[in-house]
Amino acid sequence: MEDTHFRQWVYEPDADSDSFWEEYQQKYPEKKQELAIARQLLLNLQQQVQSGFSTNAAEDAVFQNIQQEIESKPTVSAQLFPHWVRWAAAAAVVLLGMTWIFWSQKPTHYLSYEINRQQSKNALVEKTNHTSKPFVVSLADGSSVLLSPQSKISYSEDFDAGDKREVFLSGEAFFEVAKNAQKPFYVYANELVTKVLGTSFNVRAFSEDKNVVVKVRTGRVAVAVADKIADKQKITVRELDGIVLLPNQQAVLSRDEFRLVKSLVENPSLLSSNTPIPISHSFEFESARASDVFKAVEEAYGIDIVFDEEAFANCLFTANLTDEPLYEKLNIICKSIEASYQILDAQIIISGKGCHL
Amino acid sequence: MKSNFETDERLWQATRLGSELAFEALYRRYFQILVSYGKRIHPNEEMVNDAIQDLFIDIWRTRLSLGQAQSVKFYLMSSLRRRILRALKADLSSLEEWEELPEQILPVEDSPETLFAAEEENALQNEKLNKWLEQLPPRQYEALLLRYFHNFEYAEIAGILNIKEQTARNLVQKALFILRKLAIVLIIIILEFIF
Repeated sequence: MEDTHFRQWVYEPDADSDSFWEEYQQKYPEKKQELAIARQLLLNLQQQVQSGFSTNAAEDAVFQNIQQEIESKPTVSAQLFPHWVRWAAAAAVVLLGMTWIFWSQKPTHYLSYEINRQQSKNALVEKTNHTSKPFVVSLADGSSVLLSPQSKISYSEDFDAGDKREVFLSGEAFFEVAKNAQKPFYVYANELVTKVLGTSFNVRAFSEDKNVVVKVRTGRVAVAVADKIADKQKITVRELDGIVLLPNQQAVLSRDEFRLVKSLVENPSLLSSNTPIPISHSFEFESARASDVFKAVEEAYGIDIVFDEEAFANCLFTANLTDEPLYEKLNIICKSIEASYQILDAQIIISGKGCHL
Repeated sequence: MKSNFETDERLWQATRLGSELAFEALYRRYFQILVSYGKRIHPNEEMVNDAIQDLFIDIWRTRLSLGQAQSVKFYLMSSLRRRILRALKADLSSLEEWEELPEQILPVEDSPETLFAAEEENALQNEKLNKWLEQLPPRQYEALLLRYFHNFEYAEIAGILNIKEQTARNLVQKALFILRKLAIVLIIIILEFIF
């Protein structure tokens, strides 16, 4: 009974373990009885645990209570960190059933900062960065905006008063949004609308640029083409409904074609560097299996890596990749196991013949 | 679903980073196990559900200050156990001196001999074994479950039950010893059937 493999065979038998224990019993017939007792005991234990299981309805009911509690009250822990960091790092809210509430006045093809501003019914405050360095704009709800040079934002004087928080942007800014599920946070940047509940991300939308780009640092962000765009024929449902971005992903809107493309940011950062609590990831590998190496990278950057586990089963990898940026890491790994990688949408696809021992 | 292939550790980490999906997956992976375990500590299911609810609410609220759990299952089960015992202590009327129950006795309403004095049907033997298990002193039974069903190491069992590692070993050994004695009788009966 002390043997983990034995227990695994009893609880989750498969063809391999079946034949192993069959052989074992033939080899050691004197153990047969002991095994039978042990097996019966384990099965009874399992039966007893399962008899204590509750209904699925109860499972759902308890989870609903949990969700209600979570959404109604704010986090109380982690006093070590300033208010907005806690919220900004939180995020990851499932943005389902989003509605893009938009007024529609006279339709136009391009939307500018000025046109976007007009939709606000409130008096707006405007901040412009005429300097050569970014500066921080703090908002009344605890969010902060790192405004790039030659950029400006405007927002309501009573920013935290309405049922949503709206910021109009011209140029580039990095947002750390204080989480508040009751008041979604919208950034209007040219034709692109970004909606979040709490997270950090960067928006680049200079009026003369061909593209509008949103890059996500933490949490989840939904982006969509503004409802107000006239030429709806050109825009697919996907663009209007919006797409959801995860950390290290970006959306690029080409303003001429109204195509919204999801991809990885240029220099993906370690997830741990985006969160207040550093998580140490080890990139020192010694005769590590390729699958473990990929998984370590996947986890550290929060990026999906697709590879054929079977093909690379025999590949071993030894190196210290602690200081290399993501793509350099991938280059080194792929070279050593004779594979190559490509980036498709927001995934990394590894292909190769695999290794022979 | 993909989440079934995610390890506990990955779900835990994603939860710490704020993924509600991972949080729910973790909950769904462990709810039934926790209910079943909790009801062993205290049979009131409603109270167990409340404890599980509070446990997960606290995990979400304090996720930023949680560490990387060595074993998620260990964390969940030991926390649940603490919560239930704490709630019981607060409610003195229902407090049974659970921890103080004597270890040595195996309640004997039926001795193994009398159980098998008459010929038993096969299905009934299974039932008997269950009955013996239930009649083990609760702490021995709990240690047995933790070791052989939940696959915990003795050090972890000691952590959960708040006892020394050696005591945990002893509990399991004692339970096994009693069960072996009983089970040998059972096996003899089975063998007699076959031959």
